Amino acid sequence: MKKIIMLINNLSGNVISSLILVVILTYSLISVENMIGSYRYITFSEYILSNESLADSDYFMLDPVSLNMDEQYNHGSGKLINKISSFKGVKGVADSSKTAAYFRSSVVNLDFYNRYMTEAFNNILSEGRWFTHSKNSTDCIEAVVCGAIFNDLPVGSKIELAFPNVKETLKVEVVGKVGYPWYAPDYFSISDEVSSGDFLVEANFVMLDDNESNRKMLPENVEPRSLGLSFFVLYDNDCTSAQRNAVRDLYESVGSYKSYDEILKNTHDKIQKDLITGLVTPIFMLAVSTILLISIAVMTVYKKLREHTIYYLCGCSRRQSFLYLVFGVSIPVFISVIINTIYVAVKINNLASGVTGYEGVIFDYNNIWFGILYCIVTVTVAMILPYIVFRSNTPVEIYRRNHND
Amino acid sequence: MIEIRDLKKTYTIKGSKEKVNALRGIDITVNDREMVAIQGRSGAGKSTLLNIIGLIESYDDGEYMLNGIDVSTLSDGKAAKLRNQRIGFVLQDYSLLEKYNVKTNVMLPLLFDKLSSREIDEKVNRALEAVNIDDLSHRKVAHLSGGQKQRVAIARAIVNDPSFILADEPTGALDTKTSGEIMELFRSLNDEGKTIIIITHDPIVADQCKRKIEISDGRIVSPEQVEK
Repeated sequence: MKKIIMLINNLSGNVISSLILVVILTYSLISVENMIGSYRYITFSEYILSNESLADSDYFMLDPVSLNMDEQYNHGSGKLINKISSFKGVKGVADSSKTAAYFRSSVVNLDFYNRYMTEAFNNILSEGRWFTHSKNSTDCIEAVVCGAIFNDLPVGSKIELAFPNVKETLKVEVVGKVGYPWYAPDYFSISDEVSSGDFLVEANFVMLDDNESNRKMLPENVEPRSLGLSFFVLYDNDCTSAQRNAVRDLYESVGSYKSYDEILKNTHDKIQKDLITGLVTPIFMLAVSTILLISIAVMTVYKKLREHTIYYLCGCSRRQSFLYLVFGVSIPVFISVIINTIYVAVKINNLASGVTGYEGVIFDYNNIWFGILYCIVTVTVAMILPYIVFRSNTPVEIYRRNHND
Repeated sequence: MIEIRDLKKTYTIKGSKEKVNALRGIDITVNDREMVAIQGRSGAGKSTLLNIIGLIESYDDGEYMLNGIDVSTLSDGKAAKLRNQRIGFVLQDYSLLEKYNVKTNVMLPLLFDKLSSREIDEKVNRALEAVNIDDLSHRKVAHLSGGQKQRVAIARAIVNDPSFILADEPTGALDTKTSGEIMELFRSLNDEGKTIIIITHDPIVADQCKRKIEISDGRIVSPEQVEK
C-alpha cells in the first residue's frame, strides 16, 4: 500500500493535467469503441448478405401510398408477392410472415420463413441447421431461435410458446441458433441508400418454416401475416434481361427497387462514409491525449528527478526508478482503460440480459482491444522522451551536480 | 570493512573535452566500528570518494572491497540493494522530500525492501526514537528546523540498520549548538557499532572523530592516519 502511494506520488504536481487526460482519453476510447461496434456491424451485415442465393436478386420496396392500408396489411402485399412470383425468370420472393408469442413471460417475434428466406439469409445460422421442409409428423415444430432470451438453450431443446389470450401453446424444437450479436433478418428500410445494415434487427426471434402443417399447429385466431412492404426477389439462373425488366417495371409501378449490386455498393459507400465521419472526432481526441500524455511524462520526469535521486540514495536502482516513473505516468491511462472496461462490461451485461437493446452495432470485449493496444503503444511512445531525459540526467549526475565539491 | 586500493576517478566536464582527475590513487582501509573524518578543501575529491564508497558512482581504476565484496562486479540492481541494506546517507542539504511528513521520509529505504507494513512501522518508530524526534513523525519536513531535518536524515540513514553511515558535511548548514548535538548523535551511533565516515572541512567536527584522513588534489596527504 505504502509503495502504491509512493508510485501515485509520481503524479503529484500534474494532477489537473492528468485528470484532463483521463476525461479526454476515456471519451476518445469510448468513441472509438462505438465506432468499432458500428464498423463491425456493417461488415457483419455485409457478410450475412454475401450469399450466393442473393447474388442475383432485387430488393423491392413498396411505396406506402400506392396501396391503401387495408390492401397493404391484409391482401395487397400478398397479392403482389404472388404476382411477382408468377413472373417468368423469378425463382421466388424471400419473405416471412409474422406474429408474436410469449416465452418466459417475454414477447418474442414468431416468424414464418418461406424457403427463399432461409436460402437468402442462411449465413445468420451459427449453430445447428435450418428446417428440413418436411411435413411435420410430431406435435413439435422445428425452430431456429435468436436472441438473449434463448441464449441458454442448446440445440435440441424443446420449448413451449404461449400466445396472448389463448390457452393453447406451441411446442417447438430448437434445431438451429443464431449466435451473438443476435441479429435476425427483417425488412424495414425503404430508402434509395439501402445497405446491408438495413436488413437486420436485434430482438428475440423464433423462426419457423412457413408451411401448411406448421400453420395448422398454431392456435385459432393466431395468424401470421406478411407485412410485405419490402422483400428480396430472387431470380432464376437463366432469367433473361427482358424477364427481369418486366418484373422491375412492376416494382416501379408500385414502389422502387435496388439491385443486389447496388445494395453492396451502398454498403461500401456507407462503410467509407461512416469511417470518415465517425473517426474524425475520436482520432482528434486520441491525438490530443497522446500529446498531453507525452507532455505529462516529460514534466513528471523533470519534476521528479531530484526526488528520484533521493530514492537512489535510499537503495532504489535506476531501472526501478524509471519503472516507477513509467507507472506514475501510466496511471491516468490505466484509469481510462479501467473506466472504459467497466463501461464495456456494463453495456455488454445490459445487452446480454436484454435490459437495453442495440441497433447497428456489435458490442463485445473484442471492441476494447484497439483501446488497450493504443494505450500500450502511447505509453511506450510517451516514455521515449522522458527516457532520454532520464538517461542524460541520471541520479548520479543530479547528485554530483548538487553535492560534489 | 572498507578496503580501497589505488582508486582513480576522472570526470569529463559536460560540454567540453576537458578531463578532471578527481581521485589520483587513493588507499584507505576503514575498519568496522570506526568513526573517520575525511577532510580537505573544496574540490579536493572528498565527496567523489564518499560517492564511490556509497556505491553512488563508479570508479575508473583501482580496487574497492566492501565487506569483502568487489564492488566493480556489482550490477546497478545489486549495488542498489547493498546501498539499501548496508549504507545510510546523511547530507548537508538533508536530501529529504520536503512536501512529505517525517515518517514518510524515514520509511523511504524500507519501501525498496520486502517488508510488511507492520515491520516498516516498527523500524520507523525505532529510528525516530533513536534520534529523539518520535513526536515529529506526522510533521511536514518543510516545517522543521535545520537541526530537526538533519535528525530526520539520520533517522532515515539508520532505519534499515546499515553497517555504514556516510555523512557529507552533515553540520554544514547548522549552527554550533545544533552541530554539537548532531555530532553527539553520530558518536552514540558509533558507540552502538556503526561505522561512520564523515566528510567535513570543519576541524571541530573532524576532531570529534576517532581518525582523520586529509585529501588534497585527489590524493591522501596524511598517510600517517592518526588513531585518536
